Amino acid sequence: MTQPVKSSGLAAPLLTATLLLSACGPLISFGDDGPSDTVYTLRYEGAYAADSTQGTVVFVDEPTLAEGLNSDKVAVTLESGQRMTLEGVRWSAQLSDLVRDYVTRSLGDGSGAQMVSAGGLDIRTSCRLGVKVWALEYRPGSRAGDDIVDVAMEVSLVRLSDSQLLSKPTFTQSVTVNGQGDAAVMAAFNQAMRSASGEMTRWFKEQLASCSTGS
Amino acid sequence: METRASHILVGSFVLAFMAGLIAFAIWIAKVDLDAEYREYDIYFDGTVSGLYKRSVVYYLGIPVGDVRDITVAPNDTQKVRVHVRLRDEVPVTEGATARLEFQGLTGVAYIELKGGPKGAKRLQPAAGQEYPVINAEASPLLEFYESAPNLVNEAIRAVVQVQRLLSNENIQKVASILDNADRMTGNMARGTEDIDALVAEARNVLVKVTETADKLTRLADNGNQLLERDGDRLVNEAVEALDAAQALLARIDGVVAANEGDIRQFVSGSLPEAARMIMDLRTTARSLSRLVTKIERDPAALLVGPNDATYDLQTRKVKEKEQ
Repeated sequence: MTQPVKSSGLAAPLLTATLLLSACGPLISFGDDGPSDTVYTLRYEGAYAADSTQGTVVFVDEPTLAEGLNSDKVAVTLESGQRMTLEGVRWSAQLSDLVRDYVTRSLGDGSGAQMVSAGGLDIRTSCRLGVKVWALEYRPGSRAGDDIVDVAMEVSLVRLSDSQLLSKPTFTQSVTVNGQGDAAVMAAFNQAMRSASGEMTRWFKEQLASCSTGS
Repeated sequence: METRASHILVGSFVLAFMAGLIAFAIWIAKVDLDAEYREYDIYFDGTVSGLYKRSVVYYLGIPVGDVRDITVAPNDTQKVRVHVRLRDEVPVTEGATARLEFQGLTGVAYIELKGGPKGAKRLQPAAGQEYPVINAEASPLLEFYESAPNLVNEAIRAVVQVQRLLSNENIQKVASILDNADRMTGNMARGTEDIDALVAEARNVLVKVTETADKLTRLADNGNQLLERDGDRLVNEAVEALDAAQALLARIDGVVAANEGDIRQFVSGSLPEAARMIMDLRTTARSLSRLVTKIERDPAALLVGPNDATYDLQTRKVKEKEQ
């Protein structure tokens, strides 16, 4: 049989001790996080796709990235081959999402095709575009003027009617970083992506007709 | 006292000596006092080098006259007029021809005449001409001499070509061709041996084929026996299996017909969606796998962040993470 009077006597000291401990909470620290990171993004600077149901519908698969690239950190490769990330800078999202959005917008704007990506799972499509990012990294040189940014993307176009691989080229770009600081590096990334996606768009327009012929 | 007879004797002797001397001179000069001559003109095209006055004129190899004069033709500077004197009995008729010939390779020339056709008239001077004109023929030997320099040049060129043809390089090539031909013939000979071996092998193969054919024949005989003995039972079993399969297909048809709409919707709509969903699940599985890998590698990174090194753009140096 329990003793209610005795229990209520213990509750008050416990409650008091808990309140005192919680008041000391702000004094406990796990270390200084330092200054916050500067956030950049990859943004396609062309037009948005027009509202149309015409044109070949192509599904852009989620890109796969080489080891060490798929995060929101900016990858760095030194001349010695050592891999790391850029201090105080990060992408606005996971790099795979940024690349997928960039490719979807640039191809949709330049080719006239209807590009669907995330959210387009229930749409009947003619082709599937896979993207493998082999390089999207900053390579510092021995001095500031030698810094470059490397972009290498392998794309594969598959016709869904017969699962036929139509083409599988790789687009590479190396752009010299003009200036110093993280803004110059990120501008070089955007320039490299713009050049690579321009070549990709020309290739994609030549392949579009093959998406429908097999069906 | 002077004698008269001695003067007569001396005078007679001198006269006789003079007469003998004249006769000797006539004999030496071979003067034919009784001979009668006719004179002709011959016009040669081009040079008559080696022909001189007094050169002999032959008729079919018989000396019948000589050259009296050689001049350039008065109306044509490209021709030479040769005036000859021939004995009267020489049958120089219309159609007779004269040709310049040479005695050996000495360069001494003479004129060889050839008579005209049988029964032709004797050659007479044409109107306005002082002497009859014998037609001249081109001499093959003269043509040869004229073309000799060209022939020599051609011969020199031919020798040069032959020298080029027989250069060391070509000789080596010819030697190489001969070596190749030798090897080829050797290979052909060896090939003949191979063909013999091939024929022998083919013969063995034919023997084996014959044996196999015999075995197949025996197998066919056994098959016939099997069919005759067990054929009815096998056919009955096969018919039963086919009947069962047909019934199964009929049931499947019924099920499909009853659910045709649902099946079509599934195939056209849900199946692609399911395929893409599987792809998304694979992506999610990949992400989870990466997360697990990170946790296994550095569990503390989930709470306090990764402790990887970073690159500082300001200092352009690697910055190690503080623990």
